[in-house]
Amino acid sequence: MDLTLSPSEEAFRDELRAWLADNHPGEDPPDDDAAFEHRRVWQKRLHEAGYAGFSWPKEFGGRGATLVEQALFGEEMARAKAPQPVNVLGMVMGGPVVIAHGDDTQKERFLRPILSGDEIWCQGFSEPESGSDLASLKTRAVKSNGEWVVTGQKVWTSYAHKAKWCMLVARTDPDAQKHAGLTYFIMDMDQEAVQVRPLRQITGEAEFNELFIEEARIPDENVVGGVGNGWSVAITTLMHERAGLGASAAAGMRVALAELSELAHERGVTGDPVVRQKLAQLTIEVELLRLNAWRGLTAIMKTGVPGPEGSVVKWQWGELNQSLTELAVDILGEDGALWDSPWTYRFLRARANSIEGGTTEILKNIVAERVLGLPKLR
Amino acid sequence: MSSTTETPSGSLALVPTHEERMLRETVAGICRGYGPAYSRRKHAAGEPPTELWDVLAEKGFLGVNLPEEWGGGGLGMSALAAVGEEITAAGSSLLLIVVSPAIVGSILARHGTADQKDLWLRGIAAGTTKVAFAITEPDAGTNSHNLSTSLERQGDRFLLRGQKTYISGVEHADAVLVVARSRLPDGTLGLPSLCLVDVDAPGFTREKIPMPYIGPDHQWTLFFDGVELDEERLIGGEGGGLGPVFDGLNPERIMGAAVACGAGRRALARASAYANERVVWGKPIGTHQGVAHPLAEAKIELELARLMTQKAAALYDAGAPGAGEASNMAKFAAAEAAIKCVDRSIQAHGGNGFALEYELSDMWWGVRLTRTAPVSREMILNYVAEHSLGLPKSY
Repeated sequence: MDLTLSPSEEAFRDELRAWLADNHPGEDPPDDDAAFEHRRVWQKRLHEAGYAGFSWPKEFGGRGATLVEQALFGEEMARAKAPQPVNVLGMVMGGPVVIAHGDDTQKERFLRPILSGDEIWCQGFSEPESGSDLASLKTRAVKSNGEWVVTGQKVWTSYAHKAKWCMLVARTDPDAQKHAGLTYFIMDMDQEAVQVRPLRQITGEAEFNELFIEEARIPDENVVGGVGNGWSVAITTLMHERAGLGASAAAGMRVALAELSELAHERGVTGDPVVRQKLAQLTIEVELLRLNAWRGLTAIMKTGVPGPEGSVVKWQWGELNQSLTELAVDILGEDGALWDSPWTYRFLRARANSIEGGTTEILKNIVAERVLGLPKLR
Repeated sequence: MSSTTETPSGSLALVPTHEERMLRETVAGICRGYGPAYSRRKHAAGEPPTELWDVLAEKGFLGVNLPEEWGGGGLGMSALAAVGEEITAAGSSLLLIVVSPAIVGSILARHGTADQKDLWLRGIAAGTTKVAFAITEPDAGTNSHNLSTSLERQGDRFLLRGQKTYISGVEHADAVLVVARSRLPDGTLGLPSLCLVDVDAPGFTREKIPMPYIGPDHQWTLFFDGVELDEERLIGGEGGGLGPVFDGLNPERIMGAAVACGAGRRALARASAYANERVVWGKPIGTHQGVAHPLAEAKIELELARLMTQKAAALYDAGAPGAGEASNMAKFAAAEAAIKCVDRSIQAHGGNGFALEYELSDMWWGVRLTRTAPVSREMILNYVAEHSLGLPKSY
């Protein structure tokens, strides 16, 4: 792991930093819909400047960025406190699947509107009875007259109410072994048979949704990677999801720590020994997170595939964000119970960090099995 | 134990009775003369802490839990736990109190025949007979269903064969209560029996397990190579050992918890004294919250553990349901609290935490041991998950 940047990487970072300074879209407006459109505009601006689909190959409208450049991009975005572009799921998960497993027609049809933000993507993986154990999912797809008829239920589907396309994993062969018999589809959300119900969460927002699918139609040409290969298609996206986010998550924590330290100054508690010790502890953990994220990148550069480091980073990040926002609310004292401070929102939102994107328990199982070589539990 | 169908009424005195205060003060007073210097001296000489044992036994403190009918104090595990706590709180160490009166005494009181009680329990209650307890084996630690030490009937005699390991204080004991399984006619192993084996019985040898300094007592691996026993040596009869064994385990856990609590008390007393007198940058270090809060937190956990230990003893003495659960929880809580107390006391002492003069390092392995023995932290979590919470069995 070499943490010094090459001259070209430094040049890239400086150029990006300058661009972000000039083009930062400002904070999201408070209204949910307005915030969404604000981020769609932001996505378009990123796309025009060649910063959307940053890791994608050039032939598909991306930049073909190296892993180091991707990490730098994530870090600089976090450092500039730039909002997430609106189509993050399409760029991080949907697009790479089409690039890796899709045919030419699919690439032609789906990729460009992902980058421009014109077509939003959502992910239909989790079900009420299949969370961590994704392969046990029950949503069924049956072929009839050349198209697929899908019935089932999905849950925790971000952006479903805004999405045009859903990355849907459904069971196409009920008699096959659990992991076989699954197929990856791109489902059009714009049909009566798909009902979206928002899930109001502890923060008051409805980031997530339930999907009720009652005989929805998917044309055969929207199968990605072949019938029965859904598990391996889906799993590559999940691994890339974790691998790619490490550096930006670490950079985000650095920014958050600086903000927390500012809060401690504002509130005049920097002389409080307990606050000081907790801040010092968090500083150490933020640095560890950054080093682990870079270690993960190094492993991908060496082996070509994401290793278990991504699981460690996700786990560390979740715990860290929770302790950090807990300390913020401690510092705020009684004001922490009010809605006025953005920290209150962050504190509440952080509760989900140890569950979403791989629960801490599942991540620990991965570390036990793949890093320590302990026997598989299941 | 009550034999009626009514729910027995255990009572937990939150304000110590005069009797309990006297008991604690007297034990603490005696133990002051047998602190860490005494323990170290005995350990170095390879001698058991006989003088301390004898002086406590003479006053009746080492049989305080056992029935008066057999010479005990009739005060139950609550009182023996108080004695155990005061011993370690004074910086003394007497490992066999966990074994001889608590495990073996409790088993004999409930399951011994009148002859066995007369021959063994009377001596245990008086502290003149000391009996160690041997259950764990190299291939059967936590999983005691896997024991392979065997007891084979030969006419009216029995032959004991096998190996036991991590057996405490055998050098200080007159006999060992051994858990062995009956060798059936087809050669397989049947139900467990409990047998009393004299330490000098022919065919019984032992080997010391080298360990860091824990206290004056040692740990042993035992070898039984066809040791001959009479039927009178079997508690609960041939194949009748399982129930009696279980009746010894809860007292063992209660005592494990009590001695851990005593060590935790001592560590915190040391730390508080030091943090008050040690001055850096013009103020006692206890002024700094970075020093004070970790100690305060450990104190809270220690008091919670003490309360749970007292509850476990009260439930056990009342023969009430929930004694097993409470004993497990008390052992868990006390071990964790004691480790925290000693660790934080060492931290508060700086470099002095490691100097023999400050006597904290003497306590480290002792409290750390309580996380592993007499039952591991993990097995207690399994127990609580399964029995208290009704979760599926995991193994």
